[in-house]
Amino acid sequence: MKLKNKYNIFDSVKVPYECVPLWTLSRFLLLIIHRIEPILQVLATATFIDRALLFLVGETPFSDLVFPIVALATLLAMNRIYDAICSFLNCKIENAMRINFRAAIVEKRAALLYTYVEDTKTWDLVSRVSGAPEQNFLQGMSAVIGIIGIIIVSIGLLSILIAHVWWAAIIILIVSVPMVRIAIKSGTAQYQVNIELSKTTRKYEYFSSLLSGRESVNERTLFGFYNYLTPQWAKLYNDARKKFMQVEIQWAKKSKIGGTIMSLFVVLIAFAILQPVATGVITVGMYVALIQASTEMVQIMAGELPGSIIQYTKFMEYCKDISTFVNLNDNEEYLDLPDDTAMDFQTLEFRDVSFEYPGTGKMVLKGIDFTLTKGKHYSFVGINGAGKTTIIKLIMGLYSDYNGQILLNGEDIKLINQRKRKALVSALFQDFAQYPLTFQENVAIGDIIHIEDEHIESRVLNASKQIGLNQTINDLPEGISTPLGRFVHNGQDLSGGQWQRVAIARTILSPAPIHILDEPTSAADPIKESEIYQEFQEISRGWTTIFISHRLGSTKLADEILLINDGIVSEHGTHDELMKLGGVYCEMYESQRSWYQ
Amino acid sequence: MRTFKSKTNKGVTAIEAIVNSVIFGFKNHPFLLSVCAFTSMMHSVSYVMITLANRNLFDSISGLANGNEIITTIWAIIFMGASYVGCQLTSAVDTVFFMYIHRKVLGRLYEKFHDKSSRIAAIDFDYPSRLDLIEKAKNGISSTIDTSFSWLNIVSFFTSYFIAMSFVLHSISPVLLICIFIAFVPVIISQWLRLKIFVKLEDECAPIRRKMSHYENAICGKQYFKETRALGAFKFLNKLYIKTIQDLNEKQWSSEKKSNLLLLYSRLLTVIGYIAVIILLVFLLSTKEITIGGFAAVFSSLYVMFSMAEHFFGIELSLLAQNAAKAKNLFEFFRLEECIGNQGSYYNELGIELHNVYFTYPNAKKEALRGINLNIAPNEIVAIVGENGAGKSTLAKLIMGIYTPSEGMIKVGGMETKLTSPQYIYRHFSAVFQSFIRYQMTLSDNIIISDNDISQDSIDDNIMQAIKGADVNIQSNSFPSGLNTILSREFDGVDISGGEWQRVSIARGLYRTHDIIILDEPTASIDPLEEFRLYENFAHISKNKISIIVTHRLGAVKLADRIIVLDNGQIEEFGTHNELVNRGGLYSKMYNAQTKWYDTAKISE
Repeated sequence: MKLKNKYNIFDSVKVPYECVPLWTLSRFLLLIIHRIEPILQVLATATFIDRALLFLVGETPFSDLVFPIVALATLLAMNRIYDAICSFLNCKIENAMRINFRAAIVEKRAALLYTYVEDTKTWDLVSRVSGAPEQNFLQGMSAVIGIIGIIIVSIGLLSILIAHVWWAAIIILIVSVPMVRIAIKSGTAQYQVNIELSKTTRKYEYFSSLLSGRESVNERTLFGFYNYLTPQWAKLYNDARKKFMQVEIQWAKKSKIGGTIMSLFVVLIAFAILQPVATGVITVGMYVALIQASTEMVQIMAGELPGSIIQYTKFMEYCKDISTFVNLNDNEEYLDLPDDTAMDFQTLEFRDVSFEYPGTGKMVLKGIDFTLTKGKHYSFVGINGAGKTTIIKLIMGLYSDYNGQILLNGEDIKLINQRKRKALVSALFQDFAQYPLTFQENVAIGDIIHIEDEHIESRVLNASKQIGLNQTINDLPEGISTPLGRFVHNGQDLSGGQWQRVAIARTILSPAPIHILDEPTSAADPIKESEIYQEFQEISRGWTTIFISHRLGSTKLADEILLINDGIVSEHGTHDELMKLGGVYCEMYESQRSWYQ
Repeated sequence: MRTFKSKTNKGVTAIEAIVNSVIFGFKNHPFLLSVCAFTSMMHSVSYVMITLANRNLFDSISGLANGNEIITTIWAIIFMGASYVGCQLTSAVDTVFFMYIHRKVLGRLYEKFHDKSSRIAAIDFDYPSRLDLIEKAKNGISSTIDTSFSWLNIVSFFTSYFIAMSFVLHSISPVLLICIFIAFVPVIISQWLRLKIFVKLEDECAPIRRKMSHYENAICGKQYFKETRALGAFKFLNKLYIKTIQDLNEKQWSSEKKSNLLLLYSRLLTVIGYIAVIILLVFLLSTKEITIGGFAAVFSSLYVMFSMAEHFFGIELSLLAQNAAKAKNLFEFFRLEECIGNQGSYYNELGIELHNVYFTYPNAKKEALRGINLNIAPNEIVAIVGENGAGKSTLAKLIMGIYTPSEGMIKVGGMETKLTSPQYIYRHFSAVFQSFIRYQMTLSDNIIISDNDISQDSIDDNIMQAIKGADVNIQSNSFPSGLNTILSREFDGVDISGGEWQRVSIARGLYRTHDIIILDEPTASIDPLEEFRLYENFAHISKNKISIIVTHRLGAVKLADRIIVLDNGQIEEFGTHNELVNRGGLYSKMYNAQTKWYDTAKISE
């Protein structure tokens, strides 16, 4: 299903129609039937009462009453089962929307430019849009249906009134207009206030979690900040409470005043048509029916309309969000598999590359130059924030609006398609992904093209052996076919250290020529850290590797060290060369080493 | 004397939960709740008034057609208008009052919940079954309020409606009382069916829904985004995702069918009820038992009557049951033990003593700490090292008094942690926790939150000292508003780096007045050069205190007077750095594992 560039209120019906035309049409048919029912009921009641009165004085047989009774009963029955049938239809529509529309949103989201992911405002928008798209649309459709229904029944009831008391209908119409305007204004106002209030609500809920949640228990216990935070929570809660009340009271005043006025007009009508009844122009039955019709109109205007307006407003806001979302930049190539052909990698060069993260105004890379050659092991060191991770993101192609050039084998890397880019690099980040998949899949996903090959199992077992995961596999109830994580009821959780090894096994399986490891040992204790360094030396033969760490002991694994400082490569060379240089690297190394002397 | 034997409180029953909920409401806001009950009653009675008014009106209209006085009709119309207006107004007042009281009582209940959370033992948050109860209790807060209001509704709204309606029906014709009965029968039958056929109306859809959202996250969630893209895993994960949606759709449809068919049947039963009432009314009309007005009035109230019955039996009662089930958890939570003990006096020269301490987490199979014997002298710097999972953090919490030993004794400055009231112990400690909290508040709040007892005049000085000691640079661009910078994007503030956060948490620990300070992995996110500076600084400021540093970065332990090596819950070895290296045991092994990478004598291939 293709997403549109602009969405409006009619799309609350068009989109479901596109997904599942039959059920959407049925829903509308059902609506029309449901809203004609009150009109028919008024007529049936009138007929029944009139005939009953005649029957009571013996002027008609009982058989004459049968038809209106049956009609009334049928109409009542239809009214009562409307909800249940609606539910069925809504379910069908929601299901269809989920698999078509929601999946389309997920696909668009997965293809977005990476810049948006790290930009809070945009990502908030993306989250709002993707939260529950099918429910939002259903509510929008329900608003449209509600409003159309109100119009249908109003026209119907008004026609009955007009047929008998033409001027009364006009009065109701005149009164309805400001009523509707009030409903619309109140609806939008309440919607706005709710958004503002949600911020205050989030704040006091946050304080509540500090006062009673698990994460803060240690500090809460030792520091005893109960007396400090409680008044602040109370103030926020009471502020929010008072604001909510103001809104409620406003709302109640407006809607009930409207309702009261309309009730008084019913009284007016009741007076007005007394004369015709006295003179027999209008039958008793019709009088009763007309009063019924008028009070129903009051119900609808004062009761249902405001609710539909609020739903309508909410949906319009959602439409704005989703239109913005669809217009975000994306690239379908991001969804591709990596290239299958063996990558011929010789050199990767950064030539005078400058880069700033969008919207920060701060240059992270300032004309950086370096070259990576096939088969060598590199270590990027530097203090946090110097730009090491940024370089990795540029190599991976997550950002492409940089100055300068990145050359792969002498060719501008921007000319290379996404499939080849993916086949070039395998990266293991500190916040690596713990996929809701089996152990085998979690490892094999590193070589996604071959994830369903027949040899994949033995490759996974080999990699696991290399990185010391045998015991872990044996401890799992279904071995490598065990789902990891709590996404299914029989899933197993692994410890932080075990997950780290799974991630390393994942990169072992990858056929990419360049392997990047970003702070892979931060959570490990000394013995494990040392083991990982040792194993890594073994695994990485034949790879071109970049090892990022601020623990300089790991630089022993590298052929060449690049010290990234303030956006450029300030020092580079072998460990001995850099020590002889006596610069920043030397200072950092010595200060770390001094701990161990 | 506090104990950790999780007293299995004989649980709270649903009835007790309902009673407690109602009592809570009335104890705290008796007047408001009574007013609410009153307005509810008025609201429900207004519906009955409408029925009466309708009957009046229709009778006088048919009288008018037969030549009766017009004045009765005029009064009848006025009465009808008044009752409709009355209905509108009472419904508005009822709703507004309800909202007001609801939020007030809810706030009061939250206060009680926070208060209780601060009194129970910290360990209650650390083992699954108790943590489960606490989380369920929090979810039960709104259910408790809903329970008491459900109850209120049942008594003041529904009951008064049916009683009033009975009077009115009786006044029209005593036979009509059977209408009420007819209104109830279908609803009762369908509820019975619901219980019999779907004893456990399990939510089969929830697990599949969770699975779907996990896959969706893996495809395009923030934490997975760059890796999924780099691996080219979209198509593989999307296949799984779509399949899960198909499964969910099937499950939704089948569960919808079940519950809706049931609804359909019960509604059809009500229709039969309607028809029965109509036939009865016609019969009564034909035998002149009731007037046309009576007929019309009852007929037009049928919808409301049947709705009320359905609401009461079908919805309100089952809501009451559901909410009571959740409210139970809250009241069980309120019954948990609190930490109590004796007063205590601190004698600095006595230091810290641990005698044969054993500790097991509740419901755990293995002991976390075994046979710990340790004495820490005043002004000592002690380092506790060991592999992940050796028990270092647990030991730190025991020393602080956050946990108390299962067996054995811990004395802090002469006060025994098991017997002394906790605040006397905590008063002498400060800490920099490994998983410190990043408070979404100002920088100043983030520091002073650790100590409420410092006098207003000294606060600023103490903050400055803490900042200096922790090396937090408030002049830097990271803190655009200095101490008043809000440290959170959430509430219109800024983000700061991991290293800066760590320094803030160290400042927090230093700010608190203490005799003993515990640092649990305080430099994990800090660069080596800065780490070095920080520890040098620290050695300087911790001169007159006991410092306990928990770490597995062995470089830092050079500061310590003594090093304790934990392995598998026991003290494996202890001594000064040199003693331990020469001993050639576990410490020596760990040390060599780290140093060999800094050994410049070895040249890498």
